[in-house]
Amino acid sequence: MKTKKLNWNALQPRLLILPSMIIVLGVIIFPVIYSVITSFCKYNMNTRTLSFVGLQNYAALFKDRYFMNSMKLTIIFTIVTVAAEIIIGIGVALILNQEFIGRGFVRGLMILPWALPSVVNAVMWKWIFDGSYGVLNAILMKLGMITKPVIWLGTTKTAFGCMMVVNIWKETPYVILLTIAALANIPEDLYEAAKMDGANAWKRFWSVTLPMIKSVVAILTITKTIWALQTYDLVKIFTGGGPASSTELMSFYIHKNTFKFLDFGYGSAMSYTLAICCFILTLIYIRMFVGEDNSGGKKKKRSA
Amino acid sequence: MKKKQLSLLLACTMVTGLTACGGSTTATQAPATQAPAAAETTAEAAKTDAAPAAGGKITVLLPQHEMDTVGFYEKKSKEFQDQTGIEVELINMSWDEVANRVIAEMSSGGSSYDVIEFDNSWVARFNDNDWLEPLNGYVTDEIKNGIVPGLLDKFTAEGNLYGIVWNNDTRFLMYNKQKLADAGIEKVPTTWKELTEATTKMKDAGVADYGYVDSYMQAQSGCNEFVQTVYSFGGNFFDKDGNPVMATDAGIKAAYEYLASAYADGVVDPNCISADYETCANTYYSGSTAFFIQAWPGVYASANDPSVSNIVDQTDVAPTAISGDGTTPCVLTLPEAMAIPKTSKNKDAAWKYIEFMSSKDFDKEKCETIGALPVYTDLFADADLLASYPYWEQFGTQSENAKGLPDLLWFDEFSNVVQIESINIITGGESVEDGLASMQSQCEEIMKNYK
Repeated sequence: MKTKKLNWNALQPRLLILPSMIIVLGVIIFPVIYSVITSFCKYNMNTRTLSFVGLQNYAALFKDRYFMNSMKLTIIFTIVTVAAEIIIGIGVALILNQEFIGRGFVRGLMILPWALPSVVNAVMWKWIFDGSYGVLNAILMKLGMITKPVIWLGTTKTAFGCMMVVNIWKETPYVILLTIAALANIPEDLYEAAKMDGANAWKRFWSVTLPMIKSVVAILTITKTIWALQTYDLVKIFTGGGPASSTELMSFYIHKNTFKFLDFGYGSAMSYTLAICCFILTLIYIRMFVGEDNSGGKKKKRSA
Repeated sequence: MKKKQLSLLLACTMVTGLTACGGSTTATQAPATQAPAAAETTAEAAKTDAAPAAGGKITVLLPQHEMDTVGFYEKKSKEFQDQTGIEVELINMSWDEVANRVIAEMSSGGSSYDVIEFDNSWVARFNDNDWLEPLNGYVTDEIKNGIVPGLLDKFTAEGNLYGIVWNNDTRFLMYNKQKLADAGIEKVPTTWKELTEATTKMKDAGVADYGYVDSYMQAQSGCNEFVQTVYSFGGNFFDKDGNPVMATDAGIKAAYEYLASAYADGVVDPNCISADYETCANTYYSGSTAFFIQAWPGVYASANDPSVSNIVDQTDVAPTAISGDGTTPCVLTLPEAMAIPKTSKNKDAAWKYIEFMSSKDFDKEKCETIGALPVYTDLFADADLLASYPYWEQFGTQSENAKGLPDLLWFDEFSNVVQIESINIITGGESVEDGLASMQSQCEEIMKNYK
């Protein structure tokens, strides 16, 4: 009788989470397993069947010049935009952390680009950069900085640069928001102690502010990197990947191969390559930021 | 104990609820891919949700007709619904969005739609994958004998008719007669060389910034424009056996040499590299350019609408399309059809809808209401329509040289290669010879996957 009761107690929580587990299994685990299998297969449209091709899809990636180009662009895009967003974001957050009249209003205003839907943002900037009607050309011509309109989205270098500017403009406010929150948690007495030790503003930033917001910066760097690697909507609306594939980031290229060229096996292989890149980068970041803290903690314990 | 009973009851309720929610797909189930409601128009009124229609329900997925600014298709769908009792859910989106949905739906074997968009560039792929219901057994004599033969042929593969044309999307050369007159040009150019000379005169006279603007952005529109230019030089991307000949065909080389020089010399607006069709039209309406190489029929009316145009009463339709040496004029025809997926569970109702929306009376009403080109041969000579649209006479002469896009199983890959390599050539990233050789080698590589 006792045994039965114990079994029921063990069974009950499992029964309760069973529906959720079925959902998780159905919408997350099954698609993941299925797409992993697909990445090693060729999909036949007629019969809707998969035929195993081994590592052929993965090997083809390295021969595909458009994929290699999209990978190169994605790496540059990620490094430049994430670095710029973090640096600019921290800088602006430090300014907005100071006391001044209208600080609340300015803080509210800063969040606006991030609050804009991605589609609206891309369309708006597309018009700003338009070679014929764009407001940017109009301003630069009024200021006498250019004599004839620049076709910003019409050359490979300027189009890619413009796309990074748009991404930085949209994503930086998120860094500002989280950094302001982190700055608010730094005790004032730390700064006072640093001042008493003769630390100037720069030294205080490096020795007090940055270590105290390090974990937030780590999280921001990880999430921003993953988001940058996954950028799709901006490419789709802003340039369509052109001119001459100069703005074709990996996510866009994967979507094109999978859902336009209907090469599901190859598309899955590319997706997992991207996922592995995300995973490795995340691990590196965690080791760099979080691992350092843990080892510091251990050292302290040992020394104690 | 009470807690246990309650938790058991909750678990049972949840399981039952989940089971109920995951019911099987039925013909009347709304399509799962209906999420971005903001981007689409659902013609079927919400009021019909309460009671199912007597004649069943069909879901129709079509792009918005580029000239239908008055909700004509929605109105006629409602009319069909009232007449037949068949409930119609009409989903209208941009062509690209519709293309994404149709391809995803067909490749996954879904049955959300009963009538779908069927583009002229999809025929080989859809036929090869056996995705559509042949319409040979459904088609009426009125449709078979009345619609422009070339249009129906475009949607026929291996003897099977798969689509009935709903949009005769043919592009025509239009020009600004005022600008030509102001520059002292009496004859409308018929060759690219004459067009270049006319552009120089107009620029010298200060009446135009550029000769024309085209949509070369990395999208299907870019491919369309390049294909038309190649055809107009008598060139082709493939030989009769379907082998790529980009590196050796004299016409295609001449076309790309012209395109590169037109870009370098400012004959074409450099904004073309990132321009979509809308930007091209706006540039033409602004008066910045004098020619619209591939204008859709609605451009004529919009150019004369003072609310959007600075060139009211200045546009005319050229008597013939442009060509390389005057012997190979060409306009591009991009017809779109309605088709029934094999997976549809309401094929008869779907056909009734197609039949209703493809009748001659419907076609005439469509022409009168939105100014779209007819699909019925007779209507090109209809006195009522010609009185309203006298410039259709020139459309008729230009249409004599209409050509479609290459019919390829791997059309999207081909289009992608053309879009990218063409820009490389035009902007000087590659020489014409190298760019065309690259185009050919890439196409040959893609073809291997389809053998």
